[in-house]
Amino acid sequence: MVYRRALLQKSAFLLLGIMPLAGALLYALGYSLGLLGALGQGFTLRHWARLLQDDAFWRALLLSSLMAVSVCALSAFMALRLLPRLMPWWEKKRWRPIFYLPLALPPLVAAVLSLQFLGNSGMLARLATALGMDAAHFPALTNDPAQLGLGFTLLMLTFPFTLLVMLNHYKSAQLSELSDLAATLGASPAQIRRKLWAPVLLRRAAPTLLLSAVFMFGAFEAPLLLGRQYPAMISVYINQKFSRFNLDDVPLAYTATVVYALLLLSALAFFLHHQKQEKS
Amino acid sequence: MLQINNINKAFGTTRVLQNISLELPKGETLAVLGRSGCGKTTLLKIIAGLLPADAGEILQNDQRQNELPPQRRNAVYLYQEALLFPHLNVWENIAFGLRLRKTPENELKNRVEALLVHLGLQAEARRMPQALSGGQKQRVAFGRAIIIEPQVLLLDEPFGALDPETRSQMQDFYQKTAEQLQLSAVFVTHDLKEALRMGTRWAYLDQGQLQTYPTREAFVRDPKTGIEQEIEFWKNV
Repeated sequence: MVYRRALLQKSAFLLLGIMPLAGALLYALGYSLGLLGALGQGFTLRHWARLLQDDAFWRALLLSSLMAVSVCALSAFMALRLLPRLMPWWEKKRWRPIFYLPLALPPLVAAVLSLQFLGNSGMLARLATALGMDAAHFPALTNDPAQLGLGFTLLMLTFPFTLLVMLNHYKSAQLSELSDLAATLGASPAQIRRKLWAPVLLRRAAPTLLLSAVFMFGAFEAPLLLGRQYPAMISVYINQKFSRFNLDDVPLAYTATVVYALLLLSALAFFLHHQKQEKS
Repeated sequence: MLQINNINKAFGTTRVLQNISLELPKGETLAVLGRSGCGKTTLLKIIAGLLPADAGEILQNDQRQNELPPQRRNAVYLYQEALLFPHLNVWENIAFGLRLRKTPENELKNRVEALLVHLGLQAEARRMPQALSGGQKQRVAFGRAIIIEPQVLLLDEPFGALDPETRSQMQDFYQKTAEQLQLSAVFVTHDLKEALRMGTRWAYLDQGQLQTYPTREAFVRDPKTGIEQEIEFWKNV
């Protein structure tokens, strides 16, 4: 009975979880190789060659990677810094809903809020003008070359999640007791954060941080509203190719999708391999 | 020498420690016997600087410690659990305190290696904490504490989580090491036999009040400790 149930669960996961994804990836691969789609004329590497020569594609990959890594790192750093101040609030259970509340913020709403706050006619600009700043000199904080508005929004979406994960790990890793012990061995509060909290929490939170990075790498709504068209984040780049009038760009979009999926699968495989090695 | 004068501590309206005074000369182990919840852990945490005292004074070699943070007291607190740093192997766990003190690499290596031999853990040096037995973990925790040559060790039922055989081995090991390195320690336990075995001085903590004894015989004879009752019980078995 138990064996049958396990088999059923595995089959359901394979059917609903893996097969649609694998099917979509195979379809995209077929399209990228000219084997599928309205314009498919048989096997060709032409779309791959075009994509690999496209400067906008490489810039999109670089921007997405940099954004994912830097926002993830900043989010982890902020969570580590704020942990001791927020822990007493977290321990009082009546305050906990406040910690969970930001998780309910959809990316699109976060992007609109950022626009209203950071945009050229947003709250910050109005405040600066009210304080006597010339509106013409207010810096661009959305759709800006440094992608500050986009980074801010992604951080707003990721930080509460990272913080929650670290607050939970703090307790389960007995970091309070370990910190007391480290202090009696001679560690200052800064050394405790650097030599104990950071390595222990980052190791434990690594799977979650990887998921956050994957989420940011493929973020769409926020980059569409707050980012630039060139260089664009990879999801926006793919969307541009899909929605062009030039039908010859559609296979290019599928090819970029395959690269995108392969990159994420490689990151996942590397991470799982690393974890397996660490356990053994 | 550790000296404690009239320490008081209350949590809300509950008085946990009342006018605690004691003296601990170098090289001695004060065994503090007491039931669960009698204030033993609070006393150790106050000496370590992990909790503030409401009143009273803590002196080490005539230097007042009350205002010093834990990292400057040179008093290491050991829990019932070994609490090894989970991200460091045995070698790095032991070296932790020396690295904080920026000990030169050569000296650090020599001291850690020598201690590993003393602890009988050379073969486990590169192992991670989760790959060690309970007794090995406690030995590492012990090594990590004594390598920095603390003024005083504060032991909070350190062998309480071990099985009887390993516990007995660790008690032997502690006795030998304490004698060899002239360690000063406050050893709290609720185990009568352990208190008698580990201490060179004895005290009994009950409802926040500490009674110290001039001799082992006085400690055994006091009905409050329950030792004579225990002896009678075993005689009649």
